[in-house]
Amino acid sequence: MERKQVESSQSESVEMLLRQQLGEAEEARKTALSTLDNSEIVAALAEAASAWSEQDSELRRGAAAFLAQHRHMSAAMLEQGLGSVFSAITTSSMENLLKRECPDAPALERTTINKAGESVRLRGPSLVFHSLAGNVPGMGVPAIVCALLARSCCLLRDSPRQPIISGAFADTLAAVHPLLGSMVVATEWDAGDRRMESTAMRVASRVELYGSDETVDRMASRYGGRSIVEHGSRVSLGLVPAEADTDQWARGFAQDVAMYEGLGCLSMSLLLVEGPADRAARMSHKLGIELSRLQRLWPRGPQDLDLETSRRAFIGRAELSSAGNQDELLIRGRDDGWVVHVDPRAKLDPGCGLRVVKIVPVKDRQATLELLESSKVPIAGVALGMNSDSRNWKETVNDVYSCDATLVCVPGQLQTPPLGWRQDGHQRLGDLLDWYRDEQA
Amino acid sequence: MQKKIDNFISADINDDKYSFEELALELFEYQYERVPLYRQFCDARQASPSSVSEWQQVPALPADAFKQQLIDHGEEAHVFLSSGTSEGLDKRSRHQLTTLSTYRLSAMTFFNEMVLPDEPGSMSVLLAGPGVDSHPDSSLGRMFSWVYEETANADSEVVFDGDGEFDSTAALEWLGRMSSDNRPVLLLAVSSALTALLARMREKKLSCRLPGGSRIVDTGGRKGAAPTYSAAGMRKACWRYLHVPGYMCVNEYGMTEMLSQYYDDALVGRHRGRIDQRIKAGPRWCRHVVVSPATLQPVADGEVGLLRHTDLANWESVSALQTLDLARRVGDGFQLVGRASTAQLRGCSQLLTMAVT
Repeated sequence: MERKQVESSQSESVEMLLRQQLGEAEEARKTALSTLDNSEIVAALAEAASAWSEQDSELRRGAAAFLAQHRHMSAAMLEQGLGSVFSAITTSSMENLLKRECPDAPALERTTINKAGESVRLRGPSLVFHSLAGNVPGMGVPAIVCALLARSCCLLRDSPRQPIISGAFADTLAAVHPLLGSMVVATEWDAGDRRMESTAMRVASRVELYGSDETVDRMASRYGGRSIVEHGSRVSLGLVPAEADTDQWARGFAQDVAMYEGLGCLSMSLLLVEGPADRAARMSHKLGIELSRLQRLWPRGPQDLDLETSRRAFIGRAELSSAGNQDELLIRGRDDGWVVHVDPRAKLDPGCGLRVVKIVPVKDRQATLELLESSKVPIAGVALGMNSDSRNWKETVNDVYSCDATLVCVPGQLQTPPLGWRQDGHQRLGDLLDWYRDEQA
Repeated sequence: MQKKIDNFISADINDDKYSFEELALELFEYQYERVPLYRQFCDARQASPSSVSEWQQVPALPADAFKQQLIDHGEEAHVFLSSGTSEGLDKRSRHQLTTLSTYRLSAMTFFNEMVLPDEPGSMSVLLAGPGVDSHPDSSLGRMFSWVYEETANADSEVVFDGDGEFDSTAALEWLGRMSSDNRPVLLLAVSSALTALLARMREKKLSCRLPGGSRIVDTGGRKGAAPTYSAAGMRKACWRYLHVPGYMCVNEYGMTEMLSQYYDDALVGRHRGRIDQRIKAGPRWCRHVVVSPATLQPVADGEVGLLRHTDLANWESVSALQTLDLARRVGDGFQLVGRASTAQLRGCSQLLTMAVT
C-alpha cells in the first residue's frame, strides 16, 4: 500500500511537470506563429540535425553506444542507422518537403484572406502527440521536424526500450534555437501508466501511435471515437526481377535484413527472386556471405526472450520443412547468427526478424504480383534489386506501387526513407496542415 | 531395444546394466536409422551416430515435427493425438506406438514415485480429466486410466465425459461424501477442471475438509477456465476450499510427444523430509536441459530458456525433443515459466469444452 502511494504521488508530480512543459510549449508556439518564417525553422532544424549527422559526431556516437548497451545491438550498426536518420534532415530535403506537401508554404508564415474574405492561416494542430515504439531508434525525429514546420508543438512518448533520441535531439535543437526547442516535449512513461497516457490523449489535438497492431489497437480502443493515426505492423521485402542480376545486390539486401536486427516495419523479411529456382539458391548463398560479413562488423546480441523464442520457433519450422522438401534450402551462419530459408511456399508475413530471411523463388512477374496481393499484412517498403536505367525499371516500380507498397528503393536503403515518408503512404507534413482562422487576427 | 529400455526403467538405480548416456547414444543410432524425417533433420545439421559421442550432442527435434508423419507403424499402431491447438484440429501432434507397455511402465513407475511415495494403497479417486474410454486418442487419458485402474477403490468416480464436459455438481457431491470419511483421497484433474471446481466453491461459498494424506494432481494448464489462478494461487485455493496442503498438490508437466512426465517434487520431498524450493523433477530415464533460444546452449542456473528433453521411453519415435516451453533452470530440475508467446496454445485443458455443468 505504501509503495502504491509513493508510485501514485510520483506519477502525479510527473504529470504536473508534463502539464507545465506543455504550457510552456504552447506559449512558445504562439510566439513562433507570429515571429518565425519557414527559412528560420528549416535552418535551425538543419543545424541541429547536422550536429548528429556530421562525420565523427560525438552526439551520435554517444547515443549509439548507450543504445547498444541498452538494446544489445551493435554500436556500429546503430551509429550508421542514426546517421541515416539525421542525414535525411537537410535544408534541401525540408525545402523539397514544403514544396511537395505544402504548395501554400508562405501561408504558414502569415495570414491570408480566403475566398470567403476571412483572415486565415495555414498551420498544424496546436499539439501533436506521438507514442513511439521501441523497435527502431530515431522514429521521433522526422515527427519533430514535421510538427515544427507546421508550427505545432510536439509531445513524444519514447518507449523505455529506446529512451533517449527524441529528448537528445530536442536538447540539441534547444541549444540552436531555444524557442523551437521548447515546442518539443520528449518524455517517457511505462506502458501501463494510464494517468500519463490519458493526460497526453486529452491535451493533444492529434495523436499518432506506433507499434505492433496489437499494441496500437489496445491503446486506440481505450479512446474509442478519437481520431488516431496508426503506424502498425507492416511487411517489407526485396525483389530481384527476372531480368536483373542476382549477385550485385546481395550486400544491400543483407544490410536491409540486419539493420536494427530486422525489427522495423522497413526491415526486409522476405526476398522474392524471379526466374528459375537456381537463381534463388544462388542468391541465398550470396546473401549468406554478406550476412556473415555483417556479423563480423555488426555482431548480433541477444534480444528479448520473446523475440529469441519466436526466432527459434521459426528456425525449427524451417529445419523441419527443409528436411522434408527437396525444393527448399536452409543455410545458417555460425551459431545461427543469421538464417536464410529458400522456400517456394513461403507466405508474405513480417517474419521474426533477428537476421532471419526467407527467399521465395517466383516464376515470373505475374506470380510476384499474386504473392504481393495475397499479403494479409500491408506492405511498407520494397527494395528493388535492379538498375534504375534498366528497360523495365519504371514498369517494375509501378507494379510494386500497385500492390500498395509505400516505399520503393534500391537495396541497402530500406531503413533510410526520405523525410516525408509515412508508413501508410499519406503525406507526413501535408496531412498535419489545415486552414485555421488566424489566432492573431 | 524395447527390452533394454524397459529394463532400465524397471531397474534399481544401482543395478543398471546400461547407463543413461549409453542408452541415449544407442537410441540415437536406432532412431536415426528408422525415422526418415529425423535422419534428414540430423543430416542437415551434419550430425550422425558416427559424429555424436555425447548424449547432449544428439540433435533435438522440434516437438512440432510430430505434426508431420514422423514414422508409420501401420494401421495397428496406437495413435495419440494432442488435444488440439489454436491452429485447429488438423494440426494436432500424432505420436504412433506399436506397444503401450513402455509408456505404461514409464508413466506408472514415476507416478508412484512422485505422487504415491508413501504407498497408501488403493484410494478413492476423483477423475476430473480424460480417460481411455472418453478420450481414446489422449495420451493423458491413457495414463489417467492406468492410475485409476491401479489405484481406485469402489468409492471412486469419474466426473468428465467424452465431450469434455466436467460435472462439477457430481464432483461437489463426491467431495462432500469423502469429507466425512477418514481415508485419504486422490484428485486427478486437468487444471482447468480443478480451476472450475474451485471457482464454483468460491462462488457458492462452499468448502470441505478432505482427510489427511489426500492429494491432488493437476495437469495441462488453465486455458479457458475463469477465474484463473497462478500456480501458488491454485495451491492456496486447494487449502482453502479442500483443506489439502500445498505440499500435497502436485502439478504434472507432460506432452503427447513424450512418454515420460515431470512432477512437482513437493510431495516426495516432504515424504523424504526435505523442504526445498518446489521444482519439476523427471525420472532418471528422461533428462532435460534448459537452453538459450538464441544459441541452443545450456543456460546458467536461475536463467530462463527453452526446455529440451531426452526421453528414453520414446524409443519408438524420437527421444531428443526441443520444445518451446519456457523454464527456469533450478538445480537438477526446473520451474515452468510458461509457453513461448509464439508457440501455439495447446494442452489437455483444451479437452474441457465447458467448464461447469
